[in-house]
Amino acid sequence: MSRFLRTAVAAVPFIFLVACTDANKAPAEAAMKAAEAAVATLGAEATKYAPEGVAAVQKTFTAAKDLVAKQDYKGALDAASGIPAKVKEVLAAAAAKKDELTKAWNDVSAKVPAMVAAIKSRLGILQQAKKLPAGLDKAALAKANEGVASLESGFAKAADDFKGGKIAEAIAGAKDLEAKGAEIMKSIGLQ
Amino acid sequence: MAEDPKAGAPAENPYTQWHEVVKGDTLSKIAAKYYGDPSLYPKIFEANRDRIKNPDLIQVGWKLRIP
Repeated sequence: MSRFLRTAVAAVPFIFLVACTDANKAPAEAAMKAAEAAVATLGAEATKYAPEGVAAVQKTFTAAKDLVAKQDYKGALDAASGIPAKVKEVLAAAAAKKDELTKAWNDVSAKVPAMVAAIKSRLGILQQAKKLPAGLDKAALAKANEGVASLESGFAKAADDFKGGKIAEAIAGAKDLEAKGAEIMKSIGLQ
Repeated sequence: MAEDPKAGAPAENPYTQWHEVVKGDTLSKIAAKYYGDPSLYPKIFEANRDRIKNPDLIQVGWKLRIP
């Protein structure tokens, strides 16, 4: 009897440990399921506009899966339970970044065509002039004509980039064109 | 309440060049300054028809579009 009691007492911590482990298993599995569903909502846009956030969430999720595999349900529960909230933050950050870039594109994409219109209008008039203003000659006009054609083709490419979702490239291209347009304007006395 | 004279007008190109009329200016002189050719003054007249009714009459202080 005494031997039985000693064995029983010795087994208590083990039984307690198993009980605790099992107690965390179901919540951990539920948390993993919720985390997996949340991670699945991180689409291509999130990866594009918030790549660091997406990578961090995926790293946490992978770590949580590893903990489940090692039957560390408490650790998995801790790791997985924060993932849905983190995913919401990442999605919000990606949406904000996309809005910011779209606004930047809208600003710059309104400028370049207006610049082209002003330059073309002036070039059209200067080409009718019997004498050009001081500091301007036919060669400068020809160069400006080439420049404006390059602005138009460059802007068409930037607009295609924007339509294709390459917003950052589109903005960079349009800003470059804006700078070139300012040079052309200066070269024909339009500033 | 005064009516906004620009209401319904097309948006101004932000890259439009402007010239403020000073004493002694004529459209021909302004055309010569910007285009090198005074005979091109009608371009300035047409671009400012909202303000200029007679190309021989422009007033000091007017801001004219130079297309």
